[in-house]
Amino acid sequence: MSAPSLPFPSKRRPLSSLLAVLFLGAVVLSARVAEVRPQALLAPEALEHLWAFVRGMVPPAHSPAFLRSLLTPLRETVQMALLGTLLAAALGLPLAVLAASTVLFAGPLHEAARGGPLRWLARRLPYLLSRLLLNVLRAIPELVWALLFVRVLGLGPAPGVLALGISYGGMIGKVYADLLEGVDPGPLLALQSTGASRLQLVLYGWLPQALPNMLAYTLYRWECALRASALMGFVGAGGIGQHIELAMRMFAYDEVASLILVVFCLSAAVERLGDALRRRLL
Amino acid sequence: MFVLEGVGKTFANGFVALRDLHLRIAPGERVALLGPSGAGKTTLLRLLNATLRPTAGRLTIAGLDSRHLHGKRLRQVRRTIGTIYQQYNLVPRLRVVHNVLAGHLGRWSGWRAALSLLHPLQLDTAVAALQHVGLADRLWQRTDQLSGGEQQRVAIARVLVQDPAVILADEPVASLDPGLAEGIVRLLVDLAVQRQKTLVVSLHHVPLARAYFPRLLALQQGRLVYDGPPQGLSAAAWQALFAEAPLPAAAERAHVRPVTAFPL
Amino acid sequence: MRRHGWSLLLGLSLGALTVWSLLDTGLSLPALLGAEGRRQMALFVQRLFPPDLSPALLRQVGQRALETLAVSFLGTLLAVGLAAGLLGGATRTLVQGAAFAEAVPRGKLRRLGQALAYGSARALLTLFRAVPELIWALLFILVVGLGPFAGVLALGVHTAGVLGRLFAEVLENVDRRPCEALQALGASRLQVFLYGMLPQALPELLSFALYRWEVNIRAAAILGFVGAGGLGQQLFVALNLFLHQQLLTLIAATLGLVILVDACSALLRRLLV
Ligand SMILES: Nc1ncnc2c1ncn2[C@@H]1O[C@H](COP(=O)(O)OP(=O)(O)OP(=O)(O)O)[C@@H](O)[C@H]1O
Ligand SMILES: [Mg+2]
Repeated sequence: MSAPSLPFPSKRRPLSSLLAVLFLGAVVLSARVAEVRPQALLAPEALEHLWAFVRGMVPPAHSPAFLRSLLTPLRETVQMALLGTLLAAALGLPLAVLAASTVLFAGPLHEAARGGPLRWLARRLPYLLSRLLLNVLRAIPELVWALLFVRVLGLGPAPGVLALGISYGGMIGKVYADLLEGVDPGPLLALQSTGASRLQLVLYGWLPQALPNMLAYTLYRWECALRASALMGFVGAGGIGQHIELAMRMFAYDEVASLILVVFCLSAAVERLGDALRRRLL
Repeated sequence: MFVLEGVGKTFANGFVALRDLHLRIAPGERVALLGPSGAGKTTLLRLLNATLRPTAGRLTIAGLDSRHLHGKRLRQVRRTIGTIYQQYNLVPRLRVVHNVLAGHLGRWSGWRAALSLLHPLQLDTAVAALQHVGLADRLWQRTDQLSGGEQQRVAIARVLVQDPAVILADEPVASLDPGLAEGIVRLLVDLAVQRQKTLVVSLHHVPLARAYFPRLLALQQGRLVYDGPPQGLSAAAWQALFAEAPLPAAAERAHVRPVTAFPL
Repeated sequence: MRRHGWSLLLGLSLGALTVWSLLDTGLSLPALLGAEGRRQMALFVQRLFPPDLSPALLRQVGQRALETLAVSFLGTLLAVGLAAGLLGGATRTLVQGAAFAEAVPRGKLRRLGQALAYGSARALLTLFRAVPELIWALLFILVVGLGPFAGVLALGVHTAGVLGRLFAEVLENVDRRPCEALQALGASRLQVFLYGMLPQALPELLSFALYRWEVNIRAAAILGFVGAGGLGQQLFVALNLFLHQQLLTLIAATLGLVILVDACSALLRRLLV
């Protein structure tokens, strides 16, 4: 059959080949910068270390005294995650209300809004400032925040809570704001026409509609917080991480094994619990 | 091509979709399948293309008992049967070209298939098939950008590439406007006639079926209530069929060919 | 009514847990935000200024930032590869032979094998993600020594656990009708995956991978705390040696890096998804 051999569509081709070249370049460059040496994984001494480690892990430490010593850090970990998430939600919610463009100036609710440049600015300034703040808060990793707070407040779970509250506050705030912006404006318009104030609109219109998704995301953050607070100990902010680092430094691999097992169980259990609660919520 | 002996299909939830079908479809025959919604047309076609298995009776496809088909043999049999669905049978995000070339999958190895996604293989077959359905210029377009009628023609192009011995079509025109519908049906019928393929089409539209098919089958509540030429049933009888009123008792024996005229 | 009871119970237990945690950790906001706490914070912030902007430090910071970027990128890439490798086992529809059409009832042994493959792939993914990246980093440092390579491996393994689960869920939820159509024309399991499942799922898979890259740039910035390269290492050192003025520079670099990756990811998402 004499079929004309049609060429590839020319429109997308430059973009995808450019992206492909950039991608390959990035891989090669990154591999050099990150000192990637796959052969190091199979080097004899690497395997030897690994073997020593694995042998040291069996059996995991399980003396009553050791297990008892885990109770406090475990409790601290759970408490830190809970308080940190609550703090984050408390911090994120007001910022989110300000950072949701539809609350202050955008969308059908504000079509009738008038005013000079000053009013215009007054509506946008809180939005811009809170978005900026949220971005900064969530851009700095929680462990860096923890490091800083440990320096200011000293060792213990308190800096961990603050660190979680601040960095997760940024993340929660941003997601809340996006959820608020996605709310169906119909009921809001109806409320507005009854003469409700802006605060009343937020309380009776925006929040109830976005609540299930907000709760679901908060729950997800709580799961992350639990994992993160298990690590806070690495920078001295309490919890189980401290013990892991210590055991690692003292080559007490059997203790490392038990500790990792504990973190694994905690993490897997929280994931299950989160899944179950979310199914109820959504 | 197909021989059904007392075939029944009961779904896992206990619903009896088809019962006691006796039917023989010879190679090269053109058959229209009619019946009200829920009568079991889709179920029957899925039995014929071996994506469902009968729960009662015996179904032979090209001389092979469907109960014993699995693995490679099953794939080989499926390759010889092309199916066109009412909708949703193309992969929306894939380009037209790949959807059409997917007709080769039964013959291609996994490697060939993977390679073709990066650089289309046997492109001429896809182009020829698309030319046949009048869509050659859409080769590189994304499939979900096409209209419903165009997508249906792409599906036909895929069957052309597949080049099966049997073409099954499940309400291929139900979501199209009447003008387009006739065009698609004619396309299928011409194809079957030219290339001597067996054609089984389920339709809602009685006039179309009567105009283009020498043999009609009617299903009602999972039973075969008519099997014969279009002239065998009056317009009123068809109307009664679609009103879901049970046909007169005589209709129950109708699957014994040749069919006598109905008392309506 | 029943729902209400549940919510009440949940709310009450949450409240009780909170009070208990507050009392137990001895955390009190008044103390933190009181005069003494505020003074401490102010003092600390004061010491951060002016930031150290000497060329030598900047060069070093730039290098570390690049290292962090590379670790996050390669870690995510490795994760995608590992996750993809496990997908055949972790996706129910794939394990069962892309069974969009009704299959012959398989033998018990075959079904047991499938269940085993599925179970072990899922268990492996759970193990990967339940152990945090910092702990994986400690393990890999033991094997390949200090440096960013250990960080790449750590991020890769942990993220593979997260992405593998997400990928499997996306693939299990694609529209099955096009897949059944492919199977009906004789496509094999691999072919149904390539032509039916993957094209449908690709945008979501990409979007998840990009999202994890955003998470991983933050993670890569702290991997240095345990010696796995990147900005974290310098941050840790600066803090422990009381080099407060370097600290601000380093934090600013972290901030810039994270914002850069977020922007890149957003751009790629717009271009590709
Ligand atoms: N997988 C299944 N499980 C249970 N019942 C099913 C299943 N598939 C179809 N059915 C039922 O079998 C009956 C026949 O379905 P079928 O799709 O064959 O009808 P149809 O004649 O094609 O109808 P329509 O014209 O609406 O497409 C319907 O009542 C349907 O609900
Ligand atoms: Mg149907």
